[in-house]
Amino acid sequence: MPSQSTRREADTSSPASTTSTTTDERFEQARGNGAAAADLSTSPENGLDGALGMAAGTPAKLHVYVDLEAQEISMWNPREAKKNLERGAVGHTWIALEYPDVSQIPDTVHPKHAGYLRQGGKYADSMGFWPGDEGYSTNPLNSYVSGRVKQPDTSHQGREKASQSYDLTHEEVGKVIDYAESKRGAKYSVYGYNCTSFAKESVEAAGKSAPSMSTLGIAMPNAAYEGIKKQQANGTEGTMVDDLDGLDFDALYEERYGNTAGQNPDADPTTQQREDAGHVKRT
Amino acid sequence: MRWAALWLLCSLSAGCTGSDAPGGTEARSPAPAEGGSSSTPSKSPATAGEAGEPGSEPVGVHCTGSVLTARESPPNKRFPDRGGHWILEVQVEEWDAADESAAPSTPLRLIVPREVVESLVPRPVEGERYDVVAKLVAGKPDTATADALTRL
Repeated sequence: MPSQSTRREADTSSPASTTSTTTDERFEQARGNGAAAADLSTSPENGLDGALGMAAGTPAKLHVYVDLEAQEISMWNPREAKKNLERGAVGHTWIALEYPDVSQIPDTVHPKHAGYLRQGGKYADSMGFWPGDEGYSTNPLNSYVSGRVKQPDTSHQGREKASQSYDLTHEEVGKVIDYAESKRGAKYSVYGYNCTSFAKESVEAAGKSAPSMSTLGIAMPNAAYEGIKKQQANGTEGTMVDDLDGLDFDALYEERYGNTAGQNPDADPTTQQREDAGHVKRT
Repeated sequence: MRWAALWLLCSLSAGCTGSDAPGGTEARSPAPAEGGSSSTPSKSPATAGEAGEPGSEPVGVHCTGSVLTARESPPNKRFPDRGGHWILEVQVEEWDAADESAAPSTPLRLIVPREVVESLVPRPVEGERYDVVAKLVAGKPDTATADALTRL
């Protein structure tokens, strides 16, 4: 569930409440004391943020983004799934960490992420899991190929068809980063461990509940889209869903990968264009 | 996950019509074009449009201008040689076309193939000025494919 509040009543015994320590010092202490991490919100200097509605104990956000390249990749429809898997029209699921107030970024943040986070914005520290240079294998019995965490992962940026955002504490940011770093050398399988698996497990690493992102045990962007759509229908905050109305996925594929790639921008509209046309709903 | 793989193997085999059956030697053949009638590999954007209409020759242009928007296109996850290009909107400042045609009245849509992008450090940046050597896409006077890009 996004936007889970981790704010607690003041705990005067917590190192976090010691006003003589810096935020960074308290972050370091919090990293070694999970219970204290949430208590960062109780510090006097964070009071204004809380009053302004920015959950001071959760100064960061984790965004999950989903882009689609096929109307359907369902294991219940093997022919359609086969067609899209074989031509590489699988879409993409990726994540981004963000500190809306970049001054809240602790100096202790992982050095491979600090620069991206300081750029700010909802795509600040974007990461996604991709197959290596050989591309993925569709052979279910031999599907694992080399993989890599792409950072920044901007390839599908601004083309997302769904997203879900979560408020994070510093500690939870650290957990997502630790998880992502642990996957830099992981193997990629379009069936077993793919971009959507990486995104879902990143959410779970933060201790959050991810939407359903798989069908028959196989994680896929289309399933993630449906999962976020259900979350939105259930009233979950922090979601964005494009209704997909009027999108021609074959034309989109041709625009991205075909003989006339790059020549028909209308076939691959931006999320902003879709929103302007009334196709996007946010909660 | 093993059961899912086995299920998928059976499902895809049932839907399989050609030699790319899972479980065998995987031929990384290009996917058929829509309609399923062709197995010709897609051309990379580097050459897209150069052939253009029958009998037409690509028109070379040399121009300078500032980048209004820059968009990356994703690489294909199964065929990494497809996609991965950038698309820039360039406000043309100076224009020299081999056929002496005038500069487009609207911003030039510049398709930058991946190999050209990769030679750029940093990647294309909105607001920056570039010197561009390109070929106009046949029939599209406002669209060109970049051969070289130099940040000014």
